[in-house]
Amino acid sequence: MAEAGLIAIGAGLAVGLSAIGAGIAENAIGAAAVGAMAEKEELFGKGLIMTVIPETLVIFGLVIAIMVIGLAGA
Amino acid sequence: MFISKRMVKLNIAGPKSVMECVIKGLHQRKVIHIVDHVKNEDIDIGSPIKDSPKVSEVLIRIRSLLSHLKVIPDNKYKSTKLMSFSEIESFSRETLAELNEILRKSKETDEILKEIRSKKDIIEKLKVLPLPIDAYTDYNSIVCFIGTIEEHNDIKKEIRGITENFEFYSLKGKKPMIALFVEAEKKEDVQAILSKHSFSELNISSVKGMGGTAEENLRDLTKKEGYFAERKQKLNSQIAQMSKKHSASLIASEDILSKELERLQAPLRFAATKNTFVIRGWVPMKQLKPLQEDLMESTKNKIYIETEELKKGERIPVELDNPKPVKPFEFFMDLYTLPRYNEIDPTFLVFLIFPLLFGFMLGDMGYGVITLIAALLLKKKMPNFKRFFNIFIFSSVATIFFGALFGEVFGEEEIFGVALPHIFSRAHQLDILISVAITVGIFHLLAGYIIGFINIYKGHGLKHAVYEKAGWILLFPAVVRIILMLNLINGGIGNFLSLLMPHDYVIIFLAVIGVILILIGEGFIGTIEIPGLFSNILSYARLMAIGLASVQLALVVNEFVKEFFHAGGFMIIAAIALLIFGHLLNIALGWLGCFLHSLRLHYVEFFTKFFKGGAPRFTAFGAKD
Repeated sequence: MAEAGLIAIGAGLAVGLSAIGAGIAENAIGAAAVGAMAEKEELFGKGLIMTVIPETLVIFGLVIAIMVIGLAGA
Repeated sequence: MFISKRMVKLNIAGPKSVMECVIKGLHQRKVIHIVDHVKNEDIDIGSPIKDSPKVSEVLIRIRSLLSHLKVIPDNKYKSTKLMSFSEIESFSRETLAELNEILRKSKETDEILKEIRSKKDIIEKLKVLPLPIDAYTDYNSIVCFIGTIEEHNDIKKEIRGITENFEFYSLKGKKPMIALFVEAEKKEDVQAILSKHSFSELNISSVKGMGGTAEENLRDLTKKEGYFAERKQKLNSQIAQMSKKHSASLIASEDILSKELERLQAPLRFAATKNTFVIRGWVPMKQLKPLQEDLMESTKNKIYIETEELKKGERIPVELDNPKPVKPFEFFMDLYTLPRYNEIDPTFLVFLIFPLLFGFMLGDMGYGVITLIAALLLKKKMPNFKRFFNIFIFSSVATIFFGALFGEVFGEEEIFGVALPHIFSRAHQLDILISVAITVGIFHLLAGYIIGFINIYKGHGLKHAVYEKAGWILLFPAVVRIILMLNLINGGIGNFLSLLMPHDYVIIFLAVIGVILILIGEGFIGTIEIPGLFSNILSYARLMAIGLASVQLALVVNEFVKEFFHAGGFMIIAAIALLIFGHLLNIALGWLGCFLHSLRLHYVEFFTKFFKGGAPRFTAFGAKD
């Protein structure tokens, strides 16, 4: 089952790369959000929402990974 | 429960003679949110009651003490001491005098220390030259250059070109220290040569008048420095002692005075003429009658109270109204923003769903019990964060509940060879886990849109509600159908959802109407967000992912521990340490992750479907915390 290894690598790449992407995006947003919060504390809610928007990328990556592994099972 | 406290807008008018009486009544009852009067051409604001400058002066004194003594504000001291104004006054004056004396001495010591250190610094540099300290100063016909130069290989030769009468001391090496004595007449010429060699002069004026060798002086100065440093330390510890001794009184009197000042300065927030005043404010409807009766009685019917009609678009202060167990969850609304007056207050829904999402993610009986105990202990220790720990307690109970469903204790599914009963296993039945997670997402979001529909229906009428929210709701069958097609939900839950689905043509028909409604309601931009509905729902897959990560980490810890344990001997101690450390780490990580992600699912996915918020908080006059 050499394919199993490739499938596992594919699934890992899907999660890992999308996580890196989300990380890069959240880096800038998070810094700005914390800056805004330091000025105005009420912005916590909005800041949090803005910061976690790129997180969806990882979720997509995760779903792809699950589907890839699911395909392997089929 | 779903609606904040109903408010009435109130105008209280009366003659100035009863103003203090009215203020006192309002201050005690703590039920009115005063709307500040803005000074205009017709009516000015009132002027503070006469004691106010005196009180604010003492308050400033107390606050300066608080900041100098670095007293940490602590609510538990607030009502420990009841002191009269004159007591506070003399207490603050004496304490401040005492503190100022210490601060003066401390500053003095600082200056002396600074001087000693700068002298030491200079002598430290002079030490390399073989001359006593007094050799450098107090000459009439000779000038002395002391400092560093770049290099001094041929400098002697150059100076000899000007004069023969000079003395030159220096060391070898990079940037050496030099001392050069020449006759005063040749000063400028020598200076020119030196500056060519990038000479930088050392200012030695502060060691003028000192005798003896550099070593002797250094020893002396170090001794002195030690003495004054010790003195400085003593003064610091005196301040620390004062802080310890007075912190309770200081916090209590700050509290008393700031409340008093709020009362005395209240007229600044009223509209006032020469002889009358008008107070405008919001009062919870339930409190209106007792307040009215109370004020009428205490002023002997000398005032006039009227209620005003609500205007559209007015910023009405909001006070949430929830039963006691739900109250802690208002913390999340405070953190986010308060719902507007006419919006549904989602606190109760958060109360229902937050612990469930949390528990589903952490889902382990062992971890649940530990976090529950931790929450109960910490709640006693830190009464200021009571609300927070109450949330923690609800979440821990949910964790134990889900732990029982999954049959998990510290990541293990069997204890001493006996398998725990479970509905399904998280570690092995991933497909069920993700099916449940995404199904939760679908229904949570659907609930969000339905609440949004109600909000808009209440605020702007049926037409707006249909355009803005019904379109999204109609899209749901199509979204669920696609998710089923992708096989993200399968097994029993998938079959059940498939049964709920109408015929495909109906689904397409509903979706088309939905898209049309969104186009009408929100325009082209709205349709761009339709894929966002998928990402919102798939976002709930984190319920599975975080839970899985927590279980796997626990299992890894257990595996390691077992290996160590079998090795025997000394390794058993290491195994126990690893067991405790590993699981505590996992609990801390799991707790943080589950809390934040459960919160995020509420804030980002759920709230954005219906919640606008941004209402000002109801702050009762006199209820200063």
